[in-house]
Amino acid sequence: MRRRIPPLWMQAPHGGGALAVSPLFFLAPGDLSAGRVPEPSILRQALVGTRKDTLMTEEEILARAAGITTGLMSHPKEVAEAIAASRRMAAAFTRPADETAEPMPAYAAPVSAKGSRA
Amino acid sequence: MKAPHELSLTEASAAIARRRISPVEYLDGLRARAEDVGGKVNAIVRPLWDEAREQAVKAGRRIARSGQRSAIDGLPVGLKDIIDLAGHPTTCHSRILLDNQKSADAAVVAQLRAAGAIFPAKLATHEFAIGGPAFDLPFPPARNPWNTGHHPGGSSSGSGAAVGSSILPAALGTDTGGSVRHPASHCGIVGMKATYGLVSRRGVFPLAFTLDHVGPMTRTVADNAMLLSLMAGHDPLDPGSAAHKAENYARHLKKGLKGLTIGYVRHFHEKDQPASAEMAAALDAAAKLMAKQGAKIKTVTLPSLTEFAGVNRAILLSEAAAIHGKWLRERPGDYANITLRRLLPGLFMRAEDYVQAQRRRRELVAAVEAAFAEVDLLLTASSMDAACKIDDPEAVEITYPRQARTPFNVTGHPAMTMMCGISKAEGLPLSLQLVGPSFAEATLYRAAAAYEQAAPWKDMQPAL
Repeated sequence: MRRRIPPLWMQAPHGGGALAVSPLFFLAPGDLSAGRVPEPSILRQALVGTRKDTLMTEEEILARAAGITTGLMSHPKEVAEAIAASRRMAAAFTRPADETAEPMPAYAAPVSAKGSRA
Repeated sequence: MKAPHELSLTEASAAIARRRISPVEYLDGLRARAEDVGGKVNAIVRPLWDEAREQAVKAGRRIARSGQRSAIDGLPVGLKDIIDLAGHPTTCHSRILLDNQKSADAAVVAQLRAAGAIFPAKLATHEFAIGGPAFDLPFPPARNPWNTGHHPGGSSSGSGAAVGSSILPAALGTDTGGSVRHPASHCGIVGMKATYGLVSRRGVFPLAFTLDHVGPMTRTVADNAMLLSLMAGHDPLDPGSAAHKAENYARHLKKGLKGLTIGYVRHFHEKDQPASAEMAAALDAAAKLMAKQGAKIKTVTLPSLTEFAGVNRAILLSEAAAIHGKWLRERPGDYANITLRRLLPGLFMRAEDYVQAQRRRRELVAAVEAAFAEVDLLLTASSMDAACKIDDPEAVEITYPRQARTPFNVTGHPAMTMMCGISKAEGLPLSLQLVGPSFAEATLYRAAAAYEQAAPWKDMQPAL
């Protein structure tokens, strides 16, 4: 089988090969259906060296992007739920029609305690 | 003569001023009440009765010598355990902060302490003011004093339960998506979320910086107005503090409803989140009674609850993720499971979504402001249902979107809830919400006091 090469953005910045993504987020090739949420048992089976095939599900990529490399790896169900919930929440309100609309609260420059030196 | 725990804050204050009861006798009466019913409602996570008694002794001597410093001199106020009290930990009801010892009072506590208040208890909260009711934390969840099998509302659940069960006459809660007003609604008491920035948040563990408020919870409107008058005011060390002086918010309590126009936001509970038949009928009856008292009632339409809730969640969770990110990633097992599930989506909100929510927020503020060009106050539902069972996780989850409180965390307008009925099926309180223009708290209390006097609910107490 042809070895899959991790895309450039996933490679370690200092020439170390595959990015040091936690092994929990590496799946065997047969488990890689698009968008699939990994079950804990599958994740446990995937505890292999970090240099193996590195294609990741969308959830895994998002988890990695959110910095989930330590304790939360043992909560894959909650992580998958959170990703789905964040998508729902992000879509739950109307975007302003005016592209130039200011967010709230507006930034305000700090008032110098010393006042102007001019 | 009423027992000490039956006295409202203002009644106890007057009794102390007239030397009919001492601060120590009053506190001892409340402690006896706590020993009698406290185990049923789990409101207190850290009892501080002995320390408070020492404060009460000093207050009694001081009052005998030179009179009361303020209306709250010698009187107790409970603190939600995300509010710092010098010399004690602020646990946020979490194992993560069990040893979070604090050496200074929160600004609002320092302000009340200077006015003579004493602090006999830290009170239960949903973990970090978001995760609850939870049964996998170091402290049990607070329970509803009207029926201990039911949810007291949250996240200021201990504050609601302590005041609702008459263990304390007053408590402080915090409100980011409705957390003062939710327990006030379910425990049959008065809860006020004042205008954003009117009460300092310094020394209060944050949930979401641009939505957080500290608010008073009491059994009567007059008590609430008195307490807010002593809590409010500009704090230059709180970046969100408004440049606004505290007022005497009780000054209009006897003015009545005549001359006020109240906008009734029916679509919140009729269309957006259809309320139970009992709740809808109670709201209509309250509107009728207000009209009978002289208010002009006018139907008002605002953006849908879904819009407000969506913006609230996107902002709340993004800001909360900035606070909890490290613990979420490294110590997820130390949170209650319900807290973990509620906070985690914040790690996946995009920066763009957060900014879009803040842009939409400005539009929602403008829509509510436009309504206040036509009316003095708004009348809305608070909860769409009476309190659900506390041990039914599905019912609890349904509770959270079925409310109309989050709109006014998004906009920052002052909003208060109070009892407006009782469910016949379960004997649980029903509630309404009054909302005002920014810094119009005195008008809100005026309307609420008039309704309180005209309605039959003020004398109803839970039978614990």
